[in-house]
Amino acid sequence: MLFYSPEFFPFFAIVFALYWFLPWQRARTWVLLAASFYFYASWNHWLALIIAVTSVVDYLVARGLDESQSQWQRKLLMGGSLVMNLGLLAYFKYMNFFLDSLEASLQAAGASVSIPTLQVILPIGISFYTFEAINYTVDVYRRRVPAERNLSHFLLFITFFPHLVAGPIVRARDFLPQIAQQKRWNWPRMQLGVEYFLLGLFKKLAIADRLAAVVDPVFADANAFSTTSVWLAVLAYSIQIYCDFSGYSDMAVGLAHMLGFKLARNFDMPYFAANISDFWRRWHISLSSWLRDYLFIPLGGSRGSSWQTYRNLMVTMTLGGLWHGASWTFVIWGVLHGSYLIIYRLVQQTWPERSRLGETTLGRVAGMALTFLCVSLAWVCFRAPDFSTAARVYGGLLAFRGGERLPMTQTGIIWIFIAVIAAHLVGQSPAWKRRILQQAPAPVVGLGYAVLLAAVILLVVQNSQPFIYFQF
Amino acid sequence: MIVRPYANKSRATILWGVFFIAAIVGVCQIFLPRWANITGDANYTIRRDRLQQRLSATQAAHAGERPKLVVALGTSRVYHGLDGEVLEQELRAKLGPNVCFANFAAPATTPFHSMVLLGRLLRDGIQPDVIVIEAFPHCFEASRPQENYFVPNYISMCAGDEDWLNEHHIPVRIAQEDRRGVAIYDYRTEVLRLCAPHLLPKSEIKSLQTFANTSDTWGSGMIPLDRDPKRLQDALAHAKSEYFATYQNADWRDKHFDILRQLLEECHARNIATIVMTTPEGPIMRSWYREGGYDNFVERLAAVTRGCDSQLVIGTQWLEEEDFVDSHHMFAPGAAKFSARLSREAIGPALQQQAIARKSSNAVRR
Repeated sequence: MLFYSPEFFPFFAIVFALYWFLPWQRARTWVLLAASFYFYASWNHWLALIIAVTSVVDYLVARGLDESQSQWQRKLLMGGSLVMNLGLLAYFKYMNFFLDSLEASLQAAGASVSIPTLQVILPIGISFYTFEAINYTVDVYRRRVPAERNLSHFLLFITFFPHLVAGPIVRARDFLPQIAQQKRWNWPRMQLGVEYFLLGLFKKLAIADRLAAVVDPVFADANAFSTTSVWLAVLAYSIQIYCDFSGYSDMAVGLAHMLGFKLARNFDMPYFAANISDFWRRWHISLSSWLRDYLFIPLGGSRGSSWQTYRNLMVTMTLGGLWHGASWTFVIWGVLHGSYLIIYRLVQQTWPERSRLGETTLGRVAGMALTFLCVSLAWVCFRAPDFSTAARVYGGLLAFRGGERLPMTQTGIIWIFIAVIAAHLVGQSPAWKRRILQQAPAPVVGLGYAVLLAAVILLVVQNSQPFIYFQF
Repeated sequence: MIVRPYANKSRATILWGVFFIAAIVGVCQIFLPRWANITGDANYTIRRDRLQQRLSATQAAHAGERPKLVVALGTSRVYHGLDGEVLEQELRAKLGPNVCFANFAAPATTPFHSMVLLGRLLRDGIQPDVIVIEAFPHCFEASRPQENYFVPNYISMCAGDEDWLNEHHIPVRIAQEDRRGVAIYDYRTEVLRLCAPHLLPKSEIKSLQTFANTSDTWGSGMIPLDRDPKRLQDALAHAKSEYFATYQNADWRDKHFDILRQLLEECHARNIATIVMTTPEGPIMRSWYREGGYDNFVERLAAVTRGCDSQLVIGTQWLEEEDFVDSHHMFAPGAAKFSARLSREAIGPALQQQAIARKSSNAVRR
């Protein structure tokens, strides 16, 4: 069940109606919990059992951490929880990757080995809910948040269906207090939820899925396409992945608002980032802040020498790449971004006057363009299923050759780029947002919602893609 | 990104939004497909629109009397092989000027596609008096894929096709991986074609500029005479690579005969006269059949047409090798000969019989 599946709408309508009909917050919590397990079980009910069991274990571990005063006991509990969560993640997501890599290494060393592949189903959303569980137990260990005493509240924190399968990764200290609060019907909040949901739907179905028709053939056989086509496909993929992932996040945020919950914003006009560091403050904010707080800073962050900082950056970004998928291409993507961040720091430290140049309008625009280009080139590794595909795409970018043209007209692709840039400009401008949303009369804004939905209906492709981030 | 509005205005906005969404969804999902009769598939709609214009003009020129209509369905052999101008002239010479012909043949099609096209014509209010249906032996052979499928850029699935096929219990197969290559038309494609064609995938835009756009007034595409030896040699070699094996095998299976029979029965129920024909093949292609294979095919066809009160025309040997590009697609002069003979020997008499049958049923009603 996806947010735009036909079966999702009656599901959400029932949950929404039941939720707001019941006046008791406790009953509402159970409704959401039941709905969230049903939502997850619609993929695979056995995997729903796994998430239930691991969540109960984490709940008990956190209660133990809260009540125990013994340092070694607390470390043992914390370690046990980390081993369980990371162990499950490693088994379901990375075991075959490790085994294949081991087999390849042994064969490269001359050994004749064949290691069997494990038949495992990847639990959907495991990367997301595992990180949420880890951030909770670590925060309880550090005594930054008290352990949640109500099991249903904790289970809802982990399994809340809007964010369950593809984020945003919520922090316990932000979400748990909201569960206990009595929710009241709030028209502005409903409107906000509807707007986020419609916008996310448009980004995903009208833009991301349409651009997939341009991107997929090029990545399937880059050698057949002209250099211009390969460049357009690479840039189109940057837009596709942004619209796909931010579209999903917007839908999740919208649904949460409609149920009275606030989820943190996950994207902030990332392609308007003036530099790579700014990009990571705007892209997948919940993951980048998680990596900063639970990996980069514990490694030492930027508190040590420059070399230590660079090492910490590279380790964080490499593991961040690996988090996305069990493949060396994701690792290389992470390494690329680690390299970008290191180079940026080096430049800042070596030429501080360059920072002042970046504050001018021209400098800012140049910075945005360069950042977008670097990020787009890195996306090639992210999208390519293997190195040979990535190599062919990179080769196509530099080949200056003719070849097949894209399955969509260049005009169509350019119109989509212009629409996305225009939306970014409106999104960046508080004055425009006020003019459009606050000052326009209610019927006009309501008509705008309907036009947006009509555009989705018209532009949705016949064969919609699953969300890209579902595979993580 | 989103600014927080005020409570009363938010309520009004949401309620207006619900109202407009219901209206637009109603228009998009209910009104447009049902009443606007948008079917898409340019190869069909372009020729349909031309036919409707000609029918209106002919009717207006004949004191409002509905023209007699002959429609041809089949493969590229019929698309290139029926010269609409010659055919209409022959029919008008015999039956008067109030006759129209339209060619809806498309390359790589089978009786399954002819059934689909019949459904579309009827849904669009076009009721032919006579339908000429090609029976191309290659389509009925066992080694050919038995799945009923749409052919991108030649005949694409439209809104209404699936319901029509389900009504007749004809399964349609579109593999998931083929869906993106098959332009499945519905009102959305038509609206985008009008408002924002650049947002359509090129395969759909290409369909909009495809063979139907370059076909003549009657929907046919005549092949100019060109006896370049290299071209003829390559064309024949290509034909052999495509059809020799199936003709050698000549294992005729039931599936397409069944669909053909359903098509004929449907026409019979609607008082549409049908002519099932085998189009001409050159001596070279005729030599590819295994012993008895062709005769067996004709027998099977005869059994189907007998049971459905349909006329069977065996035109296989009507032309000589020099009339063909590749021993089965006719040059324009060959098409003219074939069309003239078909209209004299089969279509004209069928139309006359239809006219007589209509007059007697009108007399009975009075």
